[in-house]
Amino acid sequence: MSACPEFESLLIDRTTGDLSEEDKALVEQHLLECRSCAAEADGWEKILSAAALRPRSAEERAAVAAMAQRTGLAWRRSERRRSLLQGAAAGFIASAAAAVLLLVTFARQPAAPPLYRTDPSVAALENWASPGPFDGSDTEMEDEREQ
Amino acid sequence: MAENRLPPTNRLRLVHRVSSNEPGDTELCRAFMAGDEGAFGELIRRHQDLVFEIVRRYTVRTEDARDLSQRAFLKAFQAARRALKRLGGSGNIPFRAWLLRIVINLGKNHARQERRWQRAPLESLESASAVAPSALDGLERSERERLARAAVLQLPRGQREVLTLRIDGDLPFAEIADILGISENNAKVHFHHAVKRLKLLIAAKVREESQ
Repeated sequence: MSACPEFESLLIDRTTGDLSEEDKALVEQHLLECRSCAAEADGWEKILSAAALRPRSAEERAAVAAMAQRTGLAWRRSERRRSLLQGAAAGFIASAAAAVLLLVTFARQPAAPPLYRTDPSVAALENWASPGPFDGSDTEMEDEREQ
Repeated sequence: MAENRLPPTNRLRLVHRVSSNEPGDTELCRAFMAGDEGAFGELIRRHQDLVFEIVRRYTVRTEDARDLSQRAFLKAFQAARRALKRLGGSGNIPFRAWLLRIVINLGKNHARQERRWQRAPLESLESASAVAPSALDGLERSERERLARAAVLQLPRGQREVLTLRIDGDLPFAEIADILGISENNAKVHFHHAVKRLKLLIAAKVREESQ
């Protein structure tokens, strides 16, 4: 036996008190006449009643009563942590900014002049032309003179 | 029959109805951000029953429910502070809707971490019409409640959220729709699907445990 299809939704709405006055009168009248729908309505009430939360325990009532105070303490703690973190972040940012500033300042200074400024090709030529201290050619000439 | 009737408003007054001469949530948030500690306490007292009741659905231990409720408030206040900074001195924020969205997400994540619920395969469920309405009749009340509560956590997410906001939070469908970002009609449809599926899940559990 199942409920009359046209009353199926209305029976659920009845269980949660969501019927309009007009529908309520209609459903209550129908329940007096239809045993299937009456049984169905009873079933919905049992299911939703069983699914409802149990009444609060003394411990739960105490937890709710203390909620404003506990949450206030937690908020103050989190605010202190937040301001500490913000302070640390600000310090870090300031240090980083100072480091960047230093780098930029030094980078902009003109580079120190080199000890000598010579075209590399000229330097190579000079190096080739002037005999070094261990240049073997002079030594050979002196050896020939000795012979 | 009538003594079993929901809605659960008779159990507890969960939703604080703000009268016209009381400050709204946004005003209290602004006052708190300006340093009024009393406004903070007032906002929490206004919503604590609702928050705790929804969190209770997803938790087993009282300390978990308490911690999750507290975290939800802190997150909501942080969101409110950011939003009020952006808005400046005018405009309203949907504080309660944000708070409840946070509550649902924290609760869901907590339940997932606890691995206390798993979605039942659809194939194992019979059609709604094949389940006798008196499926729960043969069970003790406590056993019936245990099965039903376990079944609620096995509902698909959308259905579970609407169901818990309706039966735990005692919220009207219009507000549920607003919180979840769906239409009011969609919220009602989800609720109907949820209770029908709940019936199937409970019947499946009764069968499973009787074998």
